[in-house]
Amino acid sequence: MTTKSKSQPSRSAVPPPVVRPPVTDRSPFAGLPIASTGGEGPALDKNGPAGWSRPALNEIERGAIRRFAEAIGETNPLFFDPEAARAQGYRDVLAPLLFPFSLRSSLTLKDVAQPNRTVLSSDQQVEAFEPICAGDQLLVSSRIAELTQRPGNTGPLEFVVVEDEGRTPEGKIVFRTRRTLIIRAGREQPAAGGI
Amino acid sequence: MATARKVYYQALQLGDEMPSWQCPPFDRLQIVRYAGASGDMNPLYFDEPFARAAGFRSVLAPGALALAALAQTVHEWLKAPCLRRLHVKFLKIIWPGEQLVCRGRVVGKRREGGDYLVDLDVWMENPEGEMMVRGSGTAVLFYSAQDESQRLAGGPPLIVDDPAPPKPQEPARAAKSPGKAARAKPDRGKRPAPRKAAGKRRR
Repeated sequence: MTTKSKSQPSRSAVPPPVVRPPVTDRSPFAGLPIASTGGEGPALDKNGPAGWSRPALNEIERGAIRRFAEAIGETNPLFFDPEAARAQGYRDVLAPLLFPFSLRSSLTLKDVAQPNRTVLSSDQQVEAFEPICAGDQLLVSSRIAELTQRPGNTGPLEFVVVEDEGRTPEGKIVFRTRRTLIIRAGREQPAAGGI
Repeated sequence: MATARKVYYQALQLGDEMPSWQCPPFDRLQIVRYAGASGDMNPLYFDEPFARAAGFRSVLAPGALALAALAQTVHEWLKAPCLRRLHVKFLKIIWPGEQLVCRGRVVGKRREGGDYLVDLDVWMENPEGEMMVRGSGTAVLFYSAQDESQRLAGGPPLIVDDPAPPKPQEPARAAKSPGKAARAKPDRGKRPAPRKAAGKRRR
């Protein structure tokens, strides 16, 4: 909050003729659709009822599974090779246990944290009820399960517990995740990528 | 076939240690790949000036990479992607390039219907023996090779009730999931000097 004022000497006499874009527009990710596979309708308001956000449709693709598996250093052919996966009784390549963390929901961090705040995770949980395979369709909804503020060394900290769940189009539960995010609510960073 | 080397429920005992695994340190390339693949574009993972301005010494590794490393260690041990649940708390920030060792041990065994579940404590420590992340997981296993072949042939699961606990001084633990107190102390003996982690509680 202070670093920015240093770089902008105060010229209070004349208001700028052009309205500047808000700070978040400097983000290289601003404007990119986060819930690109989501449906219509508003995302959940964090001050709203503690319900689930509208489900976002995620089509599970082999390429996405492969990229995710590569990124976490997996080498098991179940995640890469459809034949190997079928030989083990799966419909198609299997998604790693953590793959649900890559799925899109209509509730994004932009709905949870103000722009340009640092966000850390304090814990993360995933629960799998059914295997996720390429070709599956999953409906992902999220909710804010808990929201608390506590004082911290650098100002107030917000602890936000976000839960996601994925279901088949028929409504069968496939996975549940739960994350606790620590957001430095009071401290805006001078420059940021996206959330 | 690889399934022949699977670890079965029958063979695991309370207190069994997972073979520890020194996972390759998370470097900036892997961190960025994870950010891209997961869509978690937290600038703390790739924007060094942002991370410094926020008071961190560098970018940091997403905690999910720690979960992934623990999941891989468990799957490598049990020879199947058998984890059904994994919950990890991040006790310290993981910086790029840190050497981390994944560890775990069996803390519970139970049968739910036809599912044989094994509860694990899992954790990662740095070379100084400090605990960096800590959590628990639940894996679903076949009871035995017979159970596996029976089920893969489309048959019903083999139902075997838990045998008597291996040690007489722990009579109550085999049947149900162990209580928090029982799970809250992983091996004091084997870990070298868990100085800072010694006082930590799980919840």
